[in-house]
Amino acid sequence: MPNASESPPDFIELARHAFASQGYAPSDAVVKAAAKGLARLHMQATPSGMQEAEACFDEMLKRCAHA
Amino acid sequence: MRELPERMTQLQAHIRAGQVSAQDALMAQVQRGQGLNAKFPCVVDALPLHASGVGPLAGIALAHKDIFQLDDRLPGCGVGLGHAQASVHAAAAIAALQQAGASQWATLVMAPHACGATSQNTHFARCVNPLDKDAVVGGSSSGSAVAVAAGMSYAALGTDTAGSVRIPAATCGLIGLKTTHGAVSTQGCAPLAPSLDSVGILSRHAQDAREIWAALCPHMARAAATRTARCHLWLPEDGVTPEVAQAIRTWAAQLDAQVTPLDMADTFDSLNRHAQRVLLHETARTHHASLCDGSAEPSVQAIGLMGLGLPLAWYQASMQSRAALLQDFVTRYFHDAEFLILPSLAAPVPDWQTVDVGHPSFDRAALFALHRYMGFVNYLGLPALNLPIARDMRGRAVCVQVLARPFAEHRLLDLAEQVPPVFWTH
Repeated sequence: MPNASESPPDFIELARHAFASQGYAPSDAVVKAAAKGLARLHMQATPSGMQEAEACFDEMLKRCAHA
Repeated sequence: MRELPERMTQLQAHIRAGQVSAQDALMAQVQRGQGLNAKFPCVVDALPLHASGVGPLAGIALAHKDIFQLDDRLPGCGVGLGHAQASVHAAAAIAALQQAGASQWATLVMAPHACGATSQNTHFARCVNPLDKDAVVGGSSSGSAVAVAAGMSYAALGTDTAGSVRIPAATCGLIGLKTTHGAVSTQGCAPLAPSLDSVGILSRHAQDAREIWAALCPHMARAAATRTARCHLWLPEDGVTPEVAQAIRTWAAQLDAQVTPLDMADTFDSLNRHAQRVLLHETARTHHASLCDGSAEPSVQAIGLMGLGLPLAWYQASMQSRAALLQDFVTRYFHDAEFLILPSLAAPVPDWQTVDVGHPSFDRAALFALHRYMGFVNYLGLPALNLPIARDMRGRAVCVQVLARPFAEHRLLDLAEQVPPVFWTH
């Protein structure tokens, strides 16, 4: 979910930067479409505790099987 | 043999009892499959039949999605025929079925590179839905669904990255089992988004799916069990058509189980975004070269270009959160229930033209309704079962998907066996 306390990032700029880092030169239409997609996928940063909770997904699958 | 029985388990029993030889059974299945392929074209390559003669699946001739390596053969992956390649070994899933005695007589069409919620594919003839010629066949394991629904194969393997087993199963009224991430090795299977890819099973009957599951994962196989289960039911208030919602409510009310409605809209929305991030990024990574040189298939471009434009940090954040979100999901929804039931498709199975990109009748919302509730399950890695529960006003399948804890495939199959079949009732 977008963080209401922060202004949304510049999705066009984010997309341009991502394309460049991938070595891809997109058309303006592709950049606009990607930016639109980023707006849909934007979420507030994950709480740090959640990232630290468990790094290994496969282990978590096994643990959740029997919990 | 004169006539093949409806269920694979029945044919297995005939073979075990010596009423038919494994060789005769194989020939009968291949002849039937080849004959039906004229009416329901879905075969990429007919394969030379190798009968192992031993194991519980001896005498069973199957056909599978053309995404798996076979011995000395690379798959066509929906963009062409397979081709010979020395020193290539069969994919782990194929090898497991061979170990159980199964033979493979054909490879089956699929959406190009497993990208697509429908069977749309300019490289092959259009897939025809055996239940209704005007209805779409979902993708990407489209040929697997056609072959099984038409009676060309008792069961077929597919792969599911964002619904690619469950969607075709739902459109063709089939059992479709997406397995727990990692439960069945994807070694030898062309990747799309490896963190989400899972091998799956399509069949007409739950008992047949159980036999295939037992061959794929012998250490996880269990005998069928009947016990009353507690279920949660999520019927999203927006997005699911009244006809589908009512059919599911009616079915759930008759289910021999305690069913508790819940609302998980917020959880779903967040998980769905994570799932899309992973799908986009990993598809772009898998097809990076063809995306950058402009040779990627249109369906790959549709996903992969978006992936190239996704910040790496977003993907990394979604991957880092994955284990904790799985733990939270299981704690929240499976602490007091064994199953979580939700719609497979958000709307009745559409006509094929409605979801054919570029067709004058194309409706983007109808295409979205096919895969809306699928991808988050792959992100969580959970097993999921597509289960036909009713027919809509046009006689097409209405299905639910049932989720369970990781590695509880046997319980999903237990539930499927307890539910009266809607199609293939004899």
